[in-house]
Amino acid sequence: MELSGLIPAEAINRGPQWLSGTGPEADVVISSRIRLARNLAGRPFPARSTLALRAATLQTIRDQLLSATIPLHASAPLPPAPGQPPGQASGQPSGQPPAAPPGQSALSTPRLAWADVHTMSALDRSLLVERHLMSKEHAKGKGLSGSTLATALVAASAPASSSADSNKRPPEPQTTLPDPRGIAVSLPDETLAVMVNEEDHLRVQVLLSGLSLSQAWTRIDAIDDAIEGVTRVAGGRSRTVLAAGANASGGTSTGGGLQFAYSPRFGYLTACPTNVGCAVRMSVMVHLPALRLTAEIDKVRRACKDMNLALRGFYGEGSETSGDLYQISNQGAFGKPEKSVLYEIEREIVPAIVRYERTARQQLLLTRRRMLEDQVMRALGLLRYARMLTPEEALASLSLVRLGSLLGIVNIPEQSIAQLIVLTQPAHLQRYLGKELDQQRRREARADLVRERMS
Amino acid sequence: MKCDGCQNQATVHNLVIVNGKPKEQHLCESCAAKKGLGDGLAPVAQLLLQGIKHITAEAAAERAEEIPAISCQSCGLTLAHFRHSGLLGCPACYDAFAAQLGPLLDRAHDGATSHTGKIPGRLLTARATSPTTAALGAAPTLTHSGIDLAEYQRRENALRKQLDAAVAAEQFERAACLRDELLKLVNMVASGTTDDPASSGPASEGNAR
Repeated sequence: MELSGLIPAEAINRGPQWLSGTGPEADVVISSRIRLARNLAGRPFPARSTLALRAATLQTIRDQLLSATIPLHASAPLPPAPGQPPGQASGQPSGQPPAAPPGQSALSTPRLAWADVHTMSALDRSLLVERHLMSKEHAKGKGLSGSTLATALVAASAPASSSADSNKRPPEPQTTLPDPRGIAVSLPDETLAVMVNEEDHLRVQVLLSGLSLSQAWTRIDAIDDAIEGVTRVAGGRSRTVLAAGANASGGTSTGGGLQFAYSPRFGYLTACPTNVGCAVRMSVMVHLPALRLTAEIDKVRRACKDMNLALRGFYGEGSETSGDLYQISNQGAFGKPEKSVLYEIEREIVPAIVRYERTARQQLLLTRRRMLEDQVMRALGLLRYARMLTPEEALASLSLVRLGSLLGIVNIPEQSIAQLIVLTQPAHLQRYLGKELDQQRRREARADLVRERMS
Repeated sequence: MKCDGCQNQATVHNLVIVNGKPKEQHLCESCAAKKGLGDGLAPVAQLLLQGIKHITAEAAAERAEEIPAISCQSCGLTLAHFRHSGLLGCPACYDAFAAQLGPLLDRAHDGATSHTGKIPGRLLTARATSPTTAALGAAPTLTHSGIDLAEYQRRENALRKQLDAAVAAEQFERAACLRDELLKLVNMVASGTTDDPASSGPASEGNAR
């Protein structure tokens, strides 16, 4: 049942947990993410695997993910479901009911949901990209050659993915080669996502609200062990390691976890040598509207460059900055333990950036209040009165309104701004409205939705 | 065309704005240099020559570092393919292209030469520790398929040092032997074979100097 969307309708409406604004330093730090790359020992990386081998890899990893006891968190605070907040969902305009079905109590039990990406609709894939659960590359799939193999694969993979997915649309072997890819997401909190057969066999991510890298590390470290099929126990003074239920020479197959490709010299082996070593990427998403308004954003850029950290846009690698949202992340971790990477980002650079941004906000309030109010109110005006909105326009304006809300210039709950940041993205908008729309119709529907929520 | 300043052939042609009006200048190389125009406005022939020099230099450099015909025994990826795509094919590629990856990693990660950080739990199975060491509270020895990892690390470090020394002393034959020893050791741990490392590791240590 979940495959038609993976993400339940109610959650689409509510927005992802990482946008809930509940974490530490949430006024500036939107979210923290850690991603690990892992590969199975003794087999080629996905790009150099045959389709059949990729399908086998997918199967092996899927089995392990669904059978291992992966630590999931039930206690993660979820933002309130929309629909409920007063004055928001009550005044629905004609013919646009919110898609949330009532009584979703079964969803509150934490579980790991699996979906075969190659059989998902384009809309559902985009939805996961917009929720930062999947990379754009994974959504697209790599170009593949060998159509005979592809056809063979359709036959091979059909029985494997049949059980709960009978109502999903059948794969389209003619148009899209079913490059076997998968994704697992922890529901209902969506804090854990595992991509299978992306650039590496496994890409595991933990995504939390606010500045929570340490927390994310503790969790992903344990999840990584669970996927590998080992338990680590404390022994003596140092933390020592015991393999449990797994024989060290057990290969990469079933019956006790996965054996990761690793070398004592290079560390965890990855398809791209720039990731080798800890194969970890830690990134923090920050909201820096005041530093842009005071033209001090270069300070951040320089600080990142000095510390060899990457500064990217809302959607990561290669994306433009939009809505004053930036991602700060490490570039490679070879010869440098995870804890050092974490320390540099969480304790050194991000607190400094948080201080810069807060100072800039106060400075704007004190010395350029009129300009600040003008910017915020113009943005609000656009959101309240526009009849057509592009996603970029919506995001840029929501960013300024968020700043205004944090500084008490406008009285709009931050939660509804956060929800709109995601809901105005194309796939979310269409899922929310329950129908596919072309670009022009989306702009109109986006403006309608924003207008109704912002009034 | 004659130079504006002397009777030499004009090779530098310039357009200047004097009192708001454009004025053409035609100068020979030496007069242009005197007016400070020489560097920025090299004669066409000179530019061309430079271009050719540049191209030939590049070609020469390219020829000099012609991509060696190395490929991974395990997945067949060639070095040329890796250079082109930036992606390795399989875990064994790291051994096959170790020499080429070394400098690349140095550039990418601040000169680090080996991994520090998390180690897969499965690689670190605790060898049953004797009651004495347990009582003393010492951490159990970390082993992998019967290979004592601490001992392995020590051997690997020793081999590496010797290898560096051999390369520095241009003893390439010896370096090749040491490299093979090292690879054997690495492969042994990576593949989890239970050969006794003692038979391979220190053999070369004896005749190190």
